[in-house]
Amino acid sequence: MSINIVNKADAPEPPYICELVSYQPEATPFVLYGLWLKSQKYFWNSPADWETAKSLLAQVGSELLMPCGIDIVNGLDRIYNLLDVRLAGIERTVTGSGTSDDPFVYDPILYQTPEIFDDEPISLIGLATTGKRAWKNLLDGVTSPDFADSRSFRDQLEAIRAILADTELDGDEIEGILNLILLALA
Amino acid sequence: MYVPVPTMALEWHATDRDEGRALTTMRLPFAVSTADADSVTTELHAVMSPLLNCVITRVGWRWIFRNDDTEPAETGSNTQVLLALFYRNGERYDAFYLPAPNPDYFETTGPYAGIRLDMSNPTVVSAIEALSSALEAVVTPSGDPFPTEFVAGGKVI
Repeated sequence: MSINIVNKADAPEPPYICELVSYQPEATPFVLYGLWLKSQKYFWNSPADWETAKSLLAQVGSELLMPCGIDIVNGLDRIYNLLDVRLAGIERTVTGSGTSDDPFVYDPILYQTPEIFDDEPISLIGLATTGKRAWKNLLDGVTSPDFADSRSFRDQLEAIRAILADTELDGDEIEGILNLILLALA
Repeated sequence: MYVPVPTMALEWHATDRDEGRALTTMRLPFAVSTADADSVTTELHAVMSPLLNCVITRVGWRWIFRNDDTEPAETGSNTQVLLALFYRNGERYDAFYLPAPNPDYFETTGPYAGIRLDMSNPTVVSAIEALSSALEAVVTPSGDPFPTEFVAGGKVI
């Protein structure tokens, strides 16, 4: 088989699409040679085609030297860490500069499986758990470290009612006391 | 070692009917302006043409500067290794190729060791900045400014 290496071509016009591909950096010098060779004017049908092709091939060459894989991995790690802090309340420190020689290192590590700590107050789950404990304390008097008073809302209303029943206050005075309670609750 | 005086040469290439080729050269000072060179070229061309029984097929300008008194590095190879410097200006890319790059200025670790220009090297950074600055005045054959935003440099084999 033979190929006419000076076969002239039309240059593909922009806009160009972009795809991520797997690539071996060790091949870069040889691929750059191929791109350089094909950037010579005699491969193209017209000066305009040559200019367009040169720019396109130079773009490809430069991008072979500027891989974005590690940037994508770093971006995914940042999203994982952000979600982990907000959902599970796990805070991390990070060192490194994010390059292949000096990668970002998270401490604690980014877990392969999620770990949920529902008593971490900064996580969404922690906040939901705290809210649930507040409601259970208010309604049923269930105590927890944040809510130590075992009297439920019903218990306290009943206590108020009992106090009022034992007094000889008239209706206006009772209404006044109830208004004070309502103001306090508001 | 003899080092010729730098000159600027106007060259007329002529061809006769038998494919015989001739070259006429006029030398001017190295620092001649392009406007002066253009003027001399045009005037001499007009004077010469009626005198010739052949066709002037090509006119060229060459600024000639020679430096023969230094020894190239033993490991350097103009024909085997190039350094590609890629530039960008918005959507337009271009490349500038240099011969026989110094291996000391490539990255030494990572997947691009020995392949990519080491932009953490101060010498490299200074050279790139100076080159980018010099290229700002360059116009491509199509009349567009040469891109001056440096992107990356790498070895070409």
